[in-house]
Amino acid sequence: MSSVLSISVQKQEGTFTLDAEFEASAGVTGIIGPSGAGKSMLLSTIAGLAKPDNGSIRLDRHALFDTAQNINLSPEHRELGMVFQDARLFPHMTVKSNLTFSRRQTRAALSTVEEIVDLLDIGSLLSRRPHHLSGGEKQRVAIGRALLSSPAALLMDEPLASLDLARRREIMPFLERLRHRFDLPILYVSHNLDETLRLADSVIVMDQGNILARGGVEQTLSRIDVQSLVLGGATTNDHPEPVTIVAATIGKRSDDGLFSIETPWGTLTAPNITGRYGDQVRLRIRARDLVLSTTEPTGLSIRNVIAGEVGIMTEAGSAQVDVLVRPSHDSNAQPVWARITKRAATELDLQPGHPIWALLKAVVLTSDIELEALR
Amino acid sequence: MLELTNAEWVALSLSLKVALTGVVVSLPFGFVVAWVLARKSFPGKIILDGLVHLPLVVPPVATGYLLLVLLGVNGPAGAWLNDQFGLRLVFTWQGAAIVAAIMGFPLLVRALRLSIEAIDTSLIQAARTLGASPSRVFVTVILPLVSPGLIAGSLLAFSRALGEFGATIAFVGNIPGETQTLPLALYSALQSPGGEEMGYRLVALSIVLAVVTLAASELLGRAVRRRLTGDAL
Amino acid sequence: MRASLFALFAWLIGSLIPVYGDGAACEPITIFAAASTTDVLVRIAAEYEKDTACSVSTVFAGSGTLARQIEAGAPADLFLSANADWVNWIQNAGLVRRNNKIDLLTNQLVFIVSARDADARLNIQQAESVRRYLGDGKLAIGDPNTVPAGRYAQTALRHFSLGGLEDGQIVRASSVRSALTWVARGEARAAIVYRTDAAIDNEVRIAGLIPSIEGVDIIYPLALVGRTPNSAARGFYEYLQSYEAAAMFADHGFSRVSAR
Repeated sequence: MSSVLSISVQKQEGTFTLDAEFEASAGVTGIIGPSGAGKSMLLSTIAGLAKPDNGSIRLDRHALFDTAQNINLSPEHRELGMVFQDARLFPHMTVKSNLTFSRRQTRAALSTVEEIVDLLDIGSLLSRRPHHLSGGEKQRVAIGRALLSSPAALLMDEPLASLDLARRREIMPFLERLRHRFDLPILYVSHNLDETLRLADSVIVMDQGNILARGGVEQTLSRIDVQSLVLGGATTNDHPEPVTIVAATIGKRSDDGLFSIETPWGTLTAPNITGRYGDQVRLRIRARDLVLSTTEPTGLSIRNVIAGEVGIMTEAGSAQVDVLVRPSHDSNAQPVWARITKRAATELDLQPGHPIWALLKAVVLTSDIELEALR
Repeated sequence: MLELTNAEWVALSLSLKVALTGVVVSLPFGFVVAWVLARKSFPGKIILDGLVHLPLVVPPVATGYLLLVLLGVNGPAGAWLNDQFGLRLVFTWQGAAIVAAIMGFPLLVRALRLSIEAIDTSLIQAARTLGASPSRVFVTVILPLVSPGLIAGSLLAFSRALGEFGATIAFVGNIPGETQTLPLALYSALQSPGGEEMGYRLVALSIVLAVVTLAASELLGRAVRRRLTGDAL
Repeated sequence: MRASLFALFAWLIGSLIPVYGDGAACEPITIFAAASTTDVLVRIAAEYEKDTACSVSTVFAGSGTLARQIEAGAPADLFLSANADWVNWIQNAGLVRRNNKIDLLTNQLVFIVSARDADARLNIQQAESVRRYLGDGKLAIGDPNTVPAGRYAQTALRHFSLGGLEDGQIVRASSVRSALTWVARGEARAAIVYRTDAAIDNEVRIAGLIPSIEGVDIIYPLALVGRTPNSAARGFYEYLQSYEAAAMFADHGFSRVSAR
């Protein structure tokens, strides 16, 4: 029986005001937004490390914080596990002692120590001191420690932010395992889109203390306003390149090395897919990777074709234009963004409603998502 | 090897008893004060800091006299102690221990404060999210992390207590077996013509004690640091 | 700011330079004296300075401490000790010539009690009454090892059959000041000190005089220190034996041993 976290908090600190309200049930809720959006503050209030001015925080029926009833449970009573950006392992204890630190037994343990050690592959580290661990190892231990504290929900505050690319790639599979293995609400704060794409079941986008958008990962993160917030540097580039996020399933691999991928737009093929048959992945398609054609293409090397009609067109600077293509076979299917030169758009006389074919190079498609930091 | 007379043994064991008791008694207070000075801010904090350092700067005899006024049987605190517990401090080794505690206090607080200031509060936060009550956090996280400062401060205070003279002799007198610690015994020896030989032995004893305390401080300090970081030093 | 700093500095340096009186013939005089003579000696020294324009420095401490310092080479011209042993000791060390010593003052031992106890009377010749008064409280005397008054007190107690007072009932003070304070603060029931000491603290009062004991004289010898004491020092040595000085000593409770 998994829990539901209900959050509604307001907090003012200087000129910054946090005002957020949402519910999180089992699965990973990604909380994403630029630096200073208030994500960490939000997590601190939920954990009990900071006190909101107003609001309520509930775990199922149980109030952890409620200004109306004057309840404010201290962190040790909230049954929430927390993983911090800087691991925060106790330097004077071994890994094993760190893992088994929590004495909290208010609810059934999630798992045994052996299982967690196995899951996170930290068996060889047990008698070592934090001092002698790499960043990635420390974080795995930190995650294990939080899991072994019988939490009803897990709060993760940018756990990979202080790791380099190689370490992040190394730890990702463990996080994915977490999400499949345990049935609890996990709030995963990040400012990195790719982590969110890989892990989140639903997403909350924050900006300046407020929730800008929330919902399913693909829909929410494909929104232009969200993308400009989460991807683009407002100061360096006023027209960040739109990215289309789409959920896909990896299909069979053919004899000539091509994978088929099931997407809302039909079956695409690509050679550079890492993953196995049946894996659910999210594809991230950059607007520049699409070529548009006003006629059905023949004689081209491109294999992936999406037939549709022109939806919105927005200017992206003096020479570029972003075109939203709606797939024609299914009006509810996710649209895809393409970026072309303005000249091309003019010469092709593109107008909303016109039929259009979007072509996607197969070699460009990859599910091995580069985990690079934004900006 | 040093052959000690009975009087010298008595002085040595009394010194150790008094200094040890003094340090043990001052530890909890020292910890609280160091914590408050390290972590809290409030109006008058600088006055507290000054008060803590008084025993360092006030002439010991003046401190002894002050203690007589406060903790003597007619003093405000002393009268209470006598009424409630039948405890009289003047002319007793307990009184000498109180003097030892007070004279070592500023050294204890200084060392502890440094250690406490160096504690990473984020570790405390982490411990709390893992369900540790404040007392468990104290025992499992805070104490181990301040142990270097605790040890250094305690040994410093202990050394200071071993050498304490002026306030002791003014407050509890110079009573062999009861309040005559090593420094007082040394003083008495030198006051009588012909007491030089005993004086030299007591000096040698004091030096040995000082060296042993220093060595203990060094070794303990290293062991603790090693335990904290897991490094072999 | 600069100017006043400089002025301060100059003053500091200047005060280090010894100032000679009008008569350059008068060398500065230093007298080491027992602590119990502090008040009276300061006064006598001031008078002498006024009369002769010679400067007199006074140094007060326990007689034992002073004697050790003199033996170690401290620049004392005169030594007024609270007992003869210490003067003999430095004389044996060759620091005092035979004719440069004289028994100058004598003092009397008294019982003191807290000033709040207005009616107490202690007669050492009635040992029982003293024991009863003390009860289980403490009797403070100077440490016989280090305070001359203490040694005399111990002798007196033994002489009058009070030497066997309960173990721990006699507490030894490292200085007369301590003994006075203990009685004043109520830590000790009573103390034996010099009559001259009792006058210092008005929170104590004299409860009884202790008669002098045959053969045990409380003597304050005065010694002229050094193989060849200078004339300025000798001048003050003589002055201390004068009638003028005797009057001042008497004012403070010190009797002369015998007039010259």
